[in-house]
Amino acid sequence: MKSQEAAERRSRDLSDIVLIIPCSGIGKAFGSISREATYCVVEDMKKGETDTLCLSSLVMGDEDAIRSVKSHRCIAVDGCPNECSKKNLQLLDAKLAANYRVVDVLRENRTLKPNAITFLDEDGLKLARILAERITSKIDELSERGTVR
Amino acid sequence: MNAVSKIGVVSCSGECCTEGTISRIATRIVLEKLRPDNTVTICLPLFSIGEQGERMFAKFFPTIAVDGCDKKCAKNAIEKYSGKTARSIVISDLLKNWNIKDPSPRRQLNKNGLEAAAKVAEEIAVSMDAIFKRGRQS
Amino acid sequence: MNEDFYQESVDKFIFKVKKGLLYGENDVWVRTQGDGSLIGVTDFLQRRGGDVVLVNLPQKGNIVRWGDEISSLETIKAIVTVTSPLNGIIVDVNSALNDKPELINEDPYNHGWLAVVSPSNFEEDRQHLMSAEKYFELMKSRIQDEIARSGRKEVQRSV
Repeated sequence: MKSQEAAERRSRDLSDIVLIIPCSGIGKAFGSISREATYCVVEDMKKGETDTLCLSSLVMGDEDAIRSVKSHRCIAVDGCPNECSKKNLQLLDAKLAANYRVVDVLRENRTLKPNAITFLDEDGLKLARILAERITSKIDELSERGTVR
Repeated sequence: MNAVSKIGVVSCSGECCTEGTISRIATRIVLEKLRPDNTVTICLPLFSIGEQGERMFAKFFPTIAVDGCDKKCAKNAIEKYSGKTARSIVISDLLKNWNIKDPSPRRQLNKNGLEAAAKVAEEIAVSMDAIFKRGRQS
Repeated sequence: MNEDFYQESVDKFIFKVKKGLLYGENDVWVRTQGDGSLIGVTDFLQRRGGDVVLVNLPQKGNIVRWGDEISSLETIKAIVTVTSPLNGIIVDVNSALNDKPELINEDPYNHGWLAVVSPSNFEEDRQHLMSAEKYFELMKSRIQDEIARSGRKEVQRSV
């Protein structure tokens, strides 16, 4: 059974990779938190199963980037209610599997008061981690469902 | 006399590569430390979805695009929606010219990366001063 | 020239004052309608405050006095107090703000309304209120004061 599972994993093609697209807005701590949450998922929690790509390249019509978001499940990670990542992915008709907003996580964790933008402070890092855990759970849920939209 | 008092700095903030992180941090250094009274950061994602304030500012004030790589997303976005940039900075080119190696990782810059960001910030500030000077002379 | 708003641009920010409303000096607006008055916060207040994360709405049935705190907005930066521009009773609140506090940022003069107050004596309260034109001038002078007061911010980590 184990060797069968291992074989299945090896043969799994890249279409299983989930793309995490943060807004990375530069003007608010929310944007920095969205970025850090993405790195938490892509580099720590779901390394090898996820990847990220630049929202700006998508918006500017980079063909490889656009092809990627149409062929892989995507999760938009926005800082604030402007939802720049989600809106741009929708405009491109990407496979949007879920979207998250840092502001919603902040609302549920009111003791955390992230202040710094350029280099996240402790509260900012904590919020990023909480959001990353949520995204990770979603990815597990998507894998169990086996849904590819 | 056309006096220029504010300049919009647009960073690509690309997540994929270290140069994107450098562009973001360098832009924030200019805003917070080097030219706080004269810098307006344009949020590229917001700009791209059509935020009126960002687009109008970029239309009527000079802009400096700070891109991580030669895809030049920030420069292309400004020129597509608002007008020609006053200066375009590409960090991968600067790093090559300065012989700065291995500034990674993208998530948290190492010593080389932070020094690179500081140098890029100075480059942006010097470009801003040149634009101000041109504005005073016209 | 905008038909519906007076506008003041500062850098990339456009501050709007909706025409046809009355305003209190604490950055709240009033729209009279039937027996009650709709109240909310101005564009200037929501921009200064930042993204609203949580709204503490007043309770229906509460008696309020001019100048009392009737609501507060929690943003990423601070807790912003909202004071009542009228004396009266709260007869309705915008419960949509519980799930979508961002309505205050997105549409402060319409879908971002806070409460309906049934005024006890509107003519008396009217003395504390000003026209949109006057508030616009007040707002502009406040913006200039803030620009003059703003100092340099330090980057947190040395580079």
